[in-house]
Amino acid sequence: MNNWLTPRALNWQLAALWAAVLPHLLILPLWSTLMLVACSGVRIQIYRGIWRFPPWYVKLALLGLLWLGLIFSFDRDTLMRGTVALLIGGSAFKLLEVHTRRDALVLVYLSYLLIAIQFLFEQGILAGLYALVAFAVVVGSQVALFDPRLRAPLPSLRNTFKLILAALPMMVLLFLLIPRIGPLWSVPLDTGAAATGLSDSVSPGDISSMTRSDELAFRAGFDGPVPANTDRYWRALVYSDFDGRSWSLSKRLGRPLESVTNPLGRFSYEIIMEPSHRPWLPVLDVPLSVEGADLRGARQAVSKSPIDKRSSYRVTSASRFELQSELDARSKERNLAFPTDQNLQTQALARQWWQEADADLDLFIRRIAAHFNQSFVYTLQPPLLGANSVDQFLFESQRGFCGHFASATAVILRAAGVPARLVGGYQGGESNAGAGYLSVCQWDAHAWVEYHDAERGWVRFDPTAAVAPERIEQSAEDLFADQPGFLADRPLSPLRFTNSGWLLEARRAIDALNFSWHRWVLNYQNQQTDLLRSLLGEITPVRMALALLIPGALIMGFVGFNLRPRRSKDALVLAQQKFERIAAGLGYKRRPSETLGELARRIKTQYSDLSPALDLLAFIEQRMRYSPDGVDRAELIRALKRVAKDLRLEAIKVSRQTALGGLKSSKERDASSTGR
Amino acid sequence: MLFAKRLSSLYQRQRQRWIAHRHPRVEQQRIDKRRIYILPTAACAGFVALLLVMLLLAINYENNLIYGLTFLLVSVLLVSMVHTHNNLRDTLVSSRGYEPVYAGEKTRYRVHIGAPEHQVVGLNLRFQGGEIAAVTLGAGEESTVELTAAAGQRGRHHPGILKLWARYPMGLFRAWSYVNLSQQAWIYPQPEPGCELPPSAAQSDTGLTEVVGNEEFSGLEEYRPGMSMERAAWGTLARGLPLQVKEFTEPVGDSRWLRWSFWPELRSEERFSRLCYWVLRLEREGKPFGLELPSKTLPVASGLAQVQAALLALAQEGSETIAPRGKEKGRGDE
Repeated sequence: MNNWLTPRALNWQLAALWAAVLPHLLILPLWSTLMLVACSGVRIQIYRGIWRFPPWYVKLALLGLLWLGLIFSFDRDTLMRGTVALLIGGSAFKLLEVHTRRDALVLVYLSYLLIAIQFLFEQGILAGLYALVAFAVVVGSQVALFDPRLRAPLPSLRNTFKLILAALPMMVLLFLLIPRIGPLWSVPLDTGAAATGLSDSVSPGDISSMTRSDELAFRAGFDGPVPANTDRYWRALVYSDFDGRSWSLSKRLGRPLESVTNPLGRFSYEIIMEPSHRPWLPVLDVPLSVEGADLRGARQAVSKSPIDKRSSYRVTSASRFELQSELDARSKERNLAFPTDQNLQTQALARQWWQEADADLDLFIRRIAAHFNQSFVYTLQPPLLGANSVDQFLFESQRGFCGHFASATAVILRAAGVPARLVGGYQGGESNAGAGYLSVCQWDAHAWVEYHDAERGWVRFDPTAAVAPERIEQSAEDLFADQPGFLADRPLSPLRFTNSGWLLEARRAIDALNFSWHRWVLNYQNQQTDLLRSLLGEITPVRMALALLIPGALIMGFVGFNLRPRRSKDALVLAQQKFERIAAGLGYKRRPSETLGELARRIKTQYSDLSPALDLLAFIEQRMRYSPDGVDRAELIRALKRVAKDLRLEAIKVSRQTALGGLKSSKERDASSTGR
Repeated sequence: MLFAKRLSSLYQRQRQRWIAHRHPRVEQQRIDKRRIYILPTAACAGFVALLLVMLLLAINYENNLIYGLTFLLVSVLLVSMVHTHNNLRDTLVSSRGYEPVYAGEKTRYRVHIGAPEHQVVGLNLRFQGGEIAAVTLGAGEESTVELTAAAGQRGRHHPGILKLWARYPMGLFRAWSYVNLSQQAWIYPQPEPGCELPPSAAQSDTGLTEVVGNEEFSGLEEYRPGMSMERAAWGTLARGLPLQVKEFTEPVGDSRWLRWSFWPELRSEERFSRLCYWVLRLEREGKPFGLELPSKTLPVASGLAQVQAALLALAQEGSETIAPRGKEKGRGDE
C-alpha cells in the first residue's frame, strides 16, 4: 500500500485548492493571493525536485506573517472574511507539508469547506454553477488520491463524473425533504457596504445630489395579478417628528398599532428582501398581516432583526381601506407639531390657502397640487437650502425631488391645522410580464405624505405626482434615464445599454430566472411547508420518514444497479469471449483453472490442421502472462481472432458433415480425427 | 495484562478459524458480492465531521446553498460506498504457484488477479505475516503478483488466507474480502555448511558417458510447457516450424552420490540442511551428483533441473508428495 502522493494527485490537489479559493481571492486583500501563489510555486518546485520541504523556522515565520496580515486587514466587522483568509492561509501552508494521503485529505476537506463558505457572500445562479464545477474538481482530487496510476485514464475521470451525477438525485431529495430549523445561535455576518435607500431621517435641504443606483432592493411575487403602477406604494417608514429642517422617525415604535377598517381588495404576496442591514420592510399600502415580521405603530412592518441576508416574508394587504379613522388627542398633537418660529412664509401661505378653500380639505389639497404644478421642477440635483428650508424651497429654488415636495406639503398641512406625516418607502417597481412579480430597485425609493381626514382616516397624498406625474405612471428608470444623477455611481451599469429591444427581453428573462432561483432555492424554507403539504397531505413524522426512505431506497437501488459493472468493451476481452464461445460450441468449454494456452493445446489434440495458429496463441498467451507490461496485447488479440475464425470454419464443416451423413459421417469424422 | 493478552490471542484464533470456516480452499475465486465486507474508514469520520460543520453553517446562516452542498456531499458519501463495493467486485483471484525458498525465509507465492468486467483500482493484497502488494488493472487486464507470506519449516507450506482490500474512489470506505487459495509451496531445507562427504560418495564410473547439461549443443527438441524460454529456438519458429528448444549436453566429470545415510549422528532436519548445502555446493562446483533419500532416489546428473529436483525431493521427503487437490505448482509450472 502506498500512502505517498503521486505527482498526478498533487496536480489535482493544486487545481482543487485554487478552484475552491478563487472566488474568495477576488474579495480578500491582495496579500492572501500572493501567499497562495508563493506557496503553490514552492510546492511545484518541491515536486520537481528543485527545492526541499521548508524547515520549521520558515513555516513559523510564514505563520507570523499570516497573523500580522490578519490583524492589519480585518477587524470585528469583517470577522467572517478574516476567518476565510485564515482558512486560505492555513491551506496554503499545508501545501508546504503535504507528504502523505492523510495530509492531502485535510486539504481536500478544507476545499469543500471553502466552497461552502463562499455561499455566505454570494448566492447567485452563477455562483452556484461555479461552486458545482469547483466541487467536481475537488471530488476529482480526492479520487486522484486513491488512484495509484501515474496518468489519468479516461475510465477514472468517468467514474468521478458518474459519482457526482449519481449523487445529484439523492441530493435533490434531501434538499426537498429535510426540514429546516432556525439558527441555533446568532451569527455575525460582515455588514459590507453602508446601507443605501431608506434612512431613519429625511432632511431634503441637506442633499444637493441624489445618486440613484440600480441595486435591487427587493422582489415581490404576487399570488394574483400584479397591482397597477399607481397603486404600488411600498410603505416602510413613517416620519412624524419634524424639527423645522428634518423629519425623523417617531421615537416610540411601541405605540399601538393603527387600526384598519373596511379593508377591501385583499391580496397576498411574498417579499424577497435583499440585505438592507435595517429591520424595516417595505409593504404595499396597507398591510393587514405580515408573516415573519411585526406590524407596528403606523402600519410599519419591522423584522425581528436587521435584514443582513436575503430573507422573505409573506404579506397580505388591502388596496382600499380606512386607516385609524379616530385620531386620539396625543397622536393629533404629534402630527400637528412644527417649530412655529421657522418657515414663517410657508405658515402664512398655508393659512391663506386654508381660508380660500373654506376649510374644505379636498379643495385645500387640490390647491397645493396646483401650486406645485405651476412652476416647480423635479430634479435629482437640487440646490442646498438654508435655515428656513421649506420657505426657500417653496418661494425661491422651486427645484427638488420627492423629499422636498413631501416635506413642504406636510409642513403646509400642519400649518393649516391638518394632521400630516411623511411616509418613506418605494414607489413602482419593474413588472416582469407573465412571471407575476415585481423587482424594486433602490432608485424607486420615494417619499409621500399622509394627512388625516376625519372621515377617511389617514389619506395618502403624493405631491410629486402633481409636479412630475410621469414619475408615478412610468418607471423611475424611464423617467430618470437622462438625468445626470441617474446611475451616476454605476458608469458601466448594463442598464445604461439595455433599454430597448431584445436586450430588454433578455434582461427580463434573466431576472425571471433569478426570481425563481431566489424563491425556490435560496428561500426554499418558505415554500417547503406548502410543497410538502401538497405532496404528502398532512405532514407527520412517519410520512416524512417514508417520503425520504422510499425514494431514497429507489435512488440508491438504481445507482447500485446502474453502477454495476457491465460487460467490458475491451477488445481483448471481447476476442477472448468470442474464442471461448466458439470453442465451447465445438465441445471445448474452458475449465475454470485453465489458461487460454492450455485450452488451445487441448483443442489442438483434435484439430491438428489448426495447430500452427493454436500454438502461436498458446505461446503468445504464455509470454504475455509473464511479461508485466503487456506488450503482447495486440498480438494476442490478433491470434485469438485468427483462431476463432479458423475454429468457426471447422464448426461449419462439422455441421455440414452432420447434416449430410448423419450418424455415419460423424463416425467417420471420429475415425479420421483419431487417424490424424 | 496477561489475561487480556490471552483473551486477544483467543479472539484472533477464533477469528481466523471463523474466516477459514467461511472461506473453504479453492483453486480460483471470483469475488462476488456476498464475499465483500465494507466499513467506513478514519477518513470517513473526518468527512462526517466536515459535514456537521457545514450543516451548522447552513442552519445558523439559514443558507440553502450550503444545505445543498452538504446534501450533495452526503449523497456522494453514499454513492461512493457503492463504488467502493463495486470496485472490488467480480475480481478473479487464482494461484500461480510459488517461488521456492529455504526454510526460515519468507515464503513467496504468485497470485493471479484478473479484472474481467471492469477496472480494479488500488487493490491491495496481503497474506497473513507477509507484505502488502498493490495492483491496479484496467478492464480486461490481468496480472500476476508475487506476495510474501510468513516463513515456514521445511516441507509443505500453506500461505493462509489472502486478504484483498481497496478504498477507491473516495477513500471513505474500505471494501475487503478473503480468499483461501488451495495454494501450497514446498520449502527447501535451510542449507547448513559443514560435514565433509565420506570418501565413498565419490564414484569414478557409473557407466554413463554424458548427462543433460549446459555445455555443448546437441540438437533440437520439441517445446513442452515448463521448458526454459532461454533455450527457445527462435530461428526455427520464424521459419514456421513448431516451437523448439535447444538441447545441450555436458561430459561427465567425477560424479558423487549424496545419501541420507551419511551422517547417522545428526537429527533428521539437520541432515536435510547438510544435504541441501551439499547439493548447492556441488552445483556450484559443476559436479554431477545423485541423491538417495529413504523414499526417493535421483540418478546422477547435473544442471539446474537436477538441483531443482534434488531440492524438491529434500523438501518433500517425509510428507505425502501428492497434493490434496489439483496438480503440483512450482517453478516447473512455467
